[in-house]
Parts: sequence; structure tokens; C-alpha cells
Amino acid sequence: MSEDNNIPRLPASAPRPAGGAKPPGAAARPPAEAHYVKPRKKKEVETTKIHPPLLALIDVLFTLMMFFIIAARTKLAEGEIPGSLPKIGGAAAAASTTPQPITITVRPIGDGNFACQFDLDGQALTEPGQLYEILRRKQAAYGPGTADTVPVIIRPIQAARWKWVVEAFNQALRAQFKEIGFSSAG
Amino acid sequence: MKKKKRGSPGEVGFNYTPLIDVTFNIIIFFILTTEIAEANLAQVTPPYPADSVAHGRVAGENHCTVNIVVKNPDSKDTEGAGEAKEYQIDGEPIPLGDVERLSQEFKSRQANWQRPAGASKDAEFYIEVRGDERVRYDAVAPVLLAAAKAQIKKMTLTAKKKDD
Repeated sequence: MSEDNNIPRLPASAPRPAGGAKPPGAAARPPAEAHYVKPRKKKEVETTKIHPPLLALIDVLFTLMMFFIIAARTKLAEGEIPGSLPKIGGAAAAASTTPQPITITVRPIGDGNFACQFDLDGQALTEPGQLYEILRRKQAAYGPGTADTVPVIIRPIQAARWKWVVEAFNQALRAQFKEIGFSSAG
Repeated sequence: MKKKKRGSPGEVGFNYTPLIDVTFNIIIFFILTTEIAEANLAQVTPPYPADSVAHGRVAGENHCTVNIVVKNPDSKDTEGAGEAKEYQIDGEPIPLGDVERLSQEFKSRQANWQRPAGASKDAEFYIEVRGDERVRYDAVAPVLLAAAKAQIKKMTLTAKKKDD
């Protein structure tokens, strides 16, 4: 049961009090005649929530991820050291030219030939840094014009590991020699 | 008095947004830090010279990569670890010491290579010697000899780059 039905309502055309001012004679009205306006209910607007198909998206993302994990490898940490190849008999030909070529012999040492020494001008060098220092001094002694034409011949012993051959090549290039070649294995 | 209706129990759902965020991040990481495996690169441990002057690998058809692989790529530095197995060019094996075949291979590849329009005169075909650091020099020498026979003037040696 609702009490609202017992409250008398003013007709719609009846003047309503403006602001908070009481209309004249309002005090005389009995409290039972006070009107009550039911608060209007707001219309509920139905909102439709949009649900994109996330599962399909996740499937695709995972597939992409699997592709990259399987088909890719970490960025190669390797690069190329540029060089030039001599013509056939180049090493021998270079030996007869002036200025005299610098010959670096790469000689394996130790168990399994995993270590090496570089023979240069009668000196046995075990550190790449030593080799670089000597080559750099030679390069400076020749001067920038001549040094470019001085051939550096790397002469590895057959059993020398490739890493030491590349090491010698790298140090010669680092010392800014331009004509670096290999002779056949000794 | 009317009893107030209790709201329906909240739906328990999985929050996908962080998952998608993380997955996207992982994908972006892989895209940036990886490169598609190249078919012509065999499993080789390249040398790592002191203060390496090696620079980035060059992609393109203007060179032929000769891989010199060892029999046991996973073996450590022990006796016989550096025993060479074969040469590989684009995955195709070539027997050790076969200078003639290597030379023919270089010649045919050089003949097939066409200098791109607008390239400088210095642009020329070259070979990349990608040898395992453990192989003996006598396994590498035939490659250099074959290249010289094929009248290739330029070559590069593969090595690890200096750490930045």
C-alpha cells in the first residue's frame, strides 16, 4: 500500500510558489494540503558494451611471437674484415718488389696448437698487441705515402689455427697497411 | 517496506590488456633485436681478434660466402676439435681441398652477378671467407687459391665485431 495516494495534489494549472517565498496565505493552509512531487526517475538508457574478440587477437600475437622466436636468431655479432686477394704467385711477386714486404709468420705452439706466436723481424711475439705496436711503428717509419704500397705477407704454418691468422690480418689492417696478403702454408 | 534488492554478484573476468601489452612488447623486442636466419650461414664460430676492425655484414648478391665448418662444432678446445669437415656455399657441401670445384663455383657466381645500375666502378664481386676459428690454415688456403684462380680480387674475412 502506498501513502502517496492520500496526498492531495494541486491541479497542474495552479500557480506555484516561486523561489523560497511563501505565497500569501500559505501559513493558513493545513499541513495536510502540502503537495508532494514525486521525483522523476531518470530514464535508463541502455548502453551496449562493446567486447572486441580479444582471444583472436591474442592468438595472432602469440603466433607472431612464436614465429619470431623460432625463425629468428639473435643479431649476429660478426662482421667482415675487408682485404684483397693477390694474383696467382702474388706473394712471390710481392717479395721481389721494393719496398721489401713485411712478413709475419704465424706459428702454432702449445698442446693442440691452440696457442700461437707471430714471428716478425726475428722477434717472437705472443700477444696481438705487441704485433700491432711493431706494425704501427713500421707504418709510421714508412710514412703515409709509402706505407700504402708496402705489402704485408702473412705466412701461416699449416697447423696454425685460423683464429691466429685472422688475428694477424686484423692487426695489420689496424696498423693501416693496405696491401695485406697470404702466402701458401709453410 | 520493500526490501532493497542486492546487486548481482560481480563477474569474474580475466584482464587481457596487460597480457596484450606484454606480448606486443616481446614482439617488438624480437623484431628489433633479431634477424631472420640466413640460409647460407653454417654453424661456425668466427674468430674474435683483439680490437677487431670487422664491421657489419653486408647483405646482397655481390659476394659468395664460403663457410669452413668443423666436424664437431660444439666441441671445446681439445685435440682434434678444429678438424675441418667441408666447405659450404649456400648450404651445399664441397669437399675439402677441392680447388677446382671452388674455383668453378666462384666463376659461375661472379658471371651471374650483375653490377647494379648506378653502382660505382669499385663495386665488385668478392668472396667472404667464413671459417671456424679452430680450423687449421691448410683447410682455408685452398679457398684463397681458388678465389685467386677465379680472378677474384677482393675478399673479406668473417670475424666477430668489437664490442661497442
